[in-house]
Amino acid sequence: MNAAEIVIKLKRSCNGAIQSADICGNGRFYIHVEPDSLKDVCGRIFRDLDARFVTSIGADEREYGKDFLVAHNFAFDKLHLLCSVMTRADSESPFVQSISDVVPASNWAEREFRDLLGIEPIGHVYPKRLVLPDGWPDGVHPLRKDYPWNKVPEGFDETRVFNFDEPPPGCVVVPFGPFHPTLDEPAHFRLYVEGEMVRGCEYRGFMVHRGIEKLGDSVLTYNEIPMAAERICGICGCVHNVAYAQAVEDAAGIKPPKRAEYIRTIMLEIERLHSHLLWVGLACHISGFDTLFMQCFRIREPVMWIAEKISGNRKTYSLCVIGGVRWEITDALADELKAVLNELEKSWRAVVSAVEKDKNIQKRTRDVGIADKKLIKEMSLLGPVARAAGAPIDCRKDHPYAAYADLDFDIVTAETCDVWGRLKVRMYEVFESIKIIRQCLEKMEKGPIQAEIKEEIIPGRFGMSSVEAPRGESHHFVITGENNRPRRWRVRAPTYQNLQGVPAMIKDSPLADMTLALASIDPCFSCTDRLETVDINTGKIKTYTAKELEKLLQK
Amino acid sequence: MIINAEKIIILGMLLLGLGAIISFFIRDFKIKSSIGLLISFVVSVLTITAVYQVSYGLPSDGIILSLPLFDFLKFRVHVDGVSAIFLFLLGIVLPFIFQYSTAYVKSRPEMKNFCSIAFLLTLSVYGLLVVADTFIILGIFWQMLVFSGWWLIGNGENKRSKNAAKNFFIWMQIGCVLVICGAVLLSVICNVSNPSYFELFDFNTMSERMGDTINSNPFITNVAVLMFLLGFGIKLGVVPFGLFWLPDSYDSAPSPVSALFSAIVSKTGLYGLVRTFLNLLPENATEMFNYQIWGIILGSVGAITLIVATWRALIENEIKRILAYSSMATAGLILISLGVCVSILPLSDKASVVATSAIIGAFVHFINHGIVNAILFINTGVVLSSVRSRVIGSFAGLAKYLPLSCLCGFIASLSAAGLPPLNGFTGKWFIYTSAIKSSTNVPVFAILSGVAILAGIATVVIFVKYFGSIYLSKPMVRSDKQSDNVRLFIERDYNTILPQIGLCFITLIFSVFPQMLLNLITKLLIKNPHGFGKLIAKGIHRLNEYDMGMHWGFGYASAGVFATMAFAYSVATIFSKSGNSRKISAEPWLCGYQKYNQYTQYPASQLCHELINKVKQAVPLGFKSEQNVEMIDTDKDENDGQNPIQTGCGAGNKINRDNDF
Repeated sequence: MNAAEIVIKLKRSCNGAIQSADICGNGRFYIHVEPDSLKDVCGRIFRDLDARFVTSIGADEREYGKDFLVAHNFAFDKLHLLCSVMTRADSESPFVQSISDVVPASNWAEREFRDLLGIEPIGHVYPKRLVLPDGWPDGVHPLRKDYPWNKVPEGFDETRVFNFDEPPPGCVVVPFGPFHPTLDEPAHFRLYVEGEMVRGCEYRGFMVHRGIEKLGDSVLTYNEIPMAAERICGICGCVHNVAYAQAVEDAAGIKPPKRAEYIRTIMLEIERLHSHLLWVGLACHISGFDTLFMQCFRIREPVMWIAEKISGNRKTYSLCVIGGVRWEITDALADELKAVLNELEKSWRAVVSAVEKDKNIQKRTRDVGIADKKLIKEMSLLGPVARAAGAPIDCRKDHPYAAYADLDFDIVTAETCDVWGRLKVRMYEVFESIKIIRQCLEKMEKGPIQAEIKEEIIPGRFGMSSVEAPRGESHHFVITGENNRPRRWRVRAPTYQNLQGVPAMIKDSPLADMTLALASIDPCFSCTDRLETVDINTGKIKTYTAKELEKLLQK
Repeated sequence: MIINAEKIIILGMLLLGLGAIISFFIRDFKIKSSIGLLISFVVSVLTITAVYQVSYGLPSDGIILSLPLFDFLKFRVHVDGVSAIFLFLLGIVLPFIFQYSTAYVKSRPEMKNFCSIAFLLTLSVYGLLVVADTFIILGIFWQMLVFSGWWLIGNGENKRSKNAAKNFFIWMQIGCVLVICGAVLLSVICNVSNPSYFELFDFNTMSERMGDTINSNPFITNVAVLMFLLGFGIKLGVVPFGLFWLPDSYDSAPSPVSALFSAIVSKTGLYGLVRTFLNLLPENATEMFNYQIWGIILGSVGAITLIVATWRALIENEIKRILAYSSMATAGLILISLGVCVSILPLSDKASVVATSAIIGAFVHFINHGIVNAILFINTGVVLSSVRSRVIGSFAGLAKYLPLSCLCGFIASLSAAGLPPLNGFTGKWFIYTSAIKSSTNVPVFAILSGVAILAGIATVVIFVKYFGSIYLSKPMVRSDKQSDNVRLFIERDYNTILPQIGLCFITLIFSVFPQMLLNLITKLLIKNPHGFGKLIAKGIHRLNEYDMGMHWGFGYASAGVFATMAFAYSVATIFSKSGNSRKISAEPWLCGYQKYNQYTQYPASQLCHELINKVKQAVPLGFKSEQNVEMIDTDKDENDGQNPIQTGCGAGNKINRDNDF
């Protein structure tokens, strides 16, 4: 089945719901539907056609003579198609049908555009504040175009307390985060615990939301955004960098040169290597196997060094510009990279055999944090979490980008659905990454690394791109715009979906498994929140009061 | 005129009867309570004098009385060692409980006759303990106890009182019938020519001719003993009979009555059992009467009671019922010890020493537990009159409002949990060691001692739950109608505090100097001449020959521990005060986001929750607790047995999987 057939099928089953459809050649298509039948169409796509929910986008297009835009993105993984279902919402009092009861995975995404743009999802199953901070006044929506990027709203109330649910009868509340030893970043889980079994939880995150999307469509330019995008996450920054560049290229129809695509592939895989090594180490650390944690970090270090040699930085590679990459991999670097890979492969085999035979780790991780196929489907979980449940979701195969279409590699899956499965998947993916980099170095031909862009990018076009981050699919959606910057740029990091599966994973399991289950999705709250932390080493400690901080913020 | 113990006790009983009548007719509350207090104090002094008279005086055969109008109704009043032990506890707790009751009754006009009825109850307990009659007089005192207890329970604190009183009444009558039938059975089969009432039903004469009775009619004797076991067992509250009346009665009775019941009234059942097994049966009839089997039966009944009561206390959420069950559990532990004693006493010299230490342990534990339970019930009474709810977890942090009660509750909880160096440990130590040692003779006791020790551990949990949930953590009341639920008063009535402090003081004395109690009990046990009493007396003389953990210095170990703790505390205090250190206190750390409120406090109902769930799953019989409204059914099957998937937010938010296509 191809995109046209899908559209025809949908037209047949939903009478008159589909206004028009835009089928692009590169495996993307856009369907414009009547607002009244949004839920119907999305439900059919999600259930009948077995698509995976990706994300929802809300955009304020009133400036351009239109209404609010709401888009729900879906992925047909087996058909290699990405689809966006679009509809319009009234410019005065915007609302759309909520799809959250038929597509549970859209829960957060809908609440996000409700918070940021004020588009009300009518009939949402859990219409509570998600993104905006507790003290933010109601009715102020920062992502609307008429809201300045640097404004603190009037009536911001520091003392306002979030209205949490009551715990179910017989349960007490155990707070988990924002400051908790096993969390590296702030997020809050209000766990409902009976005895020591977790019976449910309420999540309150986005504590470090900094509005990077707002910056993207109001301050930065096309070629500045990759730098900001890279800083969305400290672990998989390059993924966002590449995904953004690809989304813009997709919208503008720019084709980067072949060598650039190979270099992107290599850098993405180097990033995957270091991330997997880091996560396996952390998993061992959380389950109390600190020796292996140290070993993982020792093995990881050469990967960081070679990344630094290529890009000048251990982590933030600043790789992409629109239409190409900035760093060349010379022959000398390629040789060095090969040597690093050989060494890595050898030592990693030792680690893998040690972990596989270690009964303690198995006992600690088996049957912990179960996410079965049903949950994967309902919440559209991604990456190693899905693959550990035997769902072979991998953008590198499903929606090939960069040079992946030319390469030969396997999707690692497991069937155990638990943390142990995720551990195994990530351990073996290291070998696949090594294989991919070796193939790239072999197949890569000499040539330019940046495309020449002669024309201005036409405003109002859509582009989307999915890149397989170490922890799952990162999805970027771009609407091109004027003034050398996009009108709307939406980022959906993998943790955004995976975190929504955590409550089901930890339900009816002991409190002590909570940390491991949470760590097993490799949560990255910065990704989810899209935040930037500023680290100033003055050597002097000053304690700020809330008032002083507010002043600093307003400067 | 020789002043012996019996005369003193009779004087005391007359005083009690007088007090009952006087306080019935006096209207003025103040005078009434002062008279009650005075009489109970005098009776207490008399009782303790009598106890010391018994322990230092010569053994007596008691005095024989007859009722004025009914000449044939002769009966013997006899205060020997065993009675004295029970009287001793009664003498200690009586004035304190009466003092507390004056504070308790003050605000309850419907209980204006409380004092006189309570005197009647006490009088009946005295009667049961000192009168060596087994038929009519026993029946009279027993009925007196039942009716006064019925009245007291029925006028209790809540609506369940009437029902509880009814259950109490019915079961006590069943017990009474069983015991008296047993006694009649024994009298019927004896071959005394031309018997008088006194010869037939006097306990001492009965005990003397028991050897012949057993030889002539072993089966009937065994049946009679079984009836005694059942009758007194019902009174003591052994499982399963105890479950039918004891928790409800203790729960609904006014707190001073609960204290009286737990400390003394139900323990008259223990008195009956001790009398039956250690005094009634002859020491030399081992062929006709299988002591070992009876000992094992006693021990098993005790162990079952211990397990069930401990388990119920563990899952219970109402504070008074927790205490009721823990009281039952103590009875079970004492029964195990009695079983050990009965089954191995006649075996050998060494075994008789182990048996002796078992019975000493049982009595030490009995006295300590009686005192401690009196404190705990008074304590609970204070709590319940401060906070209207009785369910654990609906209030917390009362230490701020009731600091002295908190301190007393702390000492009592530690002692009841059997933690060294407090006195609760002394008795348990003897019971555990003797039960373990007895298993070389009777292997079953290896299992029973294991049960006892496990239950001892669970007891710690129970009292952590009791004390922690009431007094610790931040003060709060968990209720919708806060104003209605709180009547916190700050211990303004010294009548609620003095009894606790007084009893705690006694507890501490027995903790620091456990040998005081041990010496008294050994001295009293020597003065018990019937049946096994002789063997026990011999065993006591031999105690030093075998290693029973009662070396020289044993009695001072506890004092040493206290001294060390005091020293360590003072050193720590000195260090903490030196170097300009500051004392800092902080709120509990809730990860920086949640507010400290009723939901974030860990309630005691969640203690051991997982263990309880596992046991509930493993034992399908399901000890269902109707009070446990907070437990939610975790095995509730949603459609097709799968757990509902939760979305990334909110607990009650389920996914609608029944979409229409």
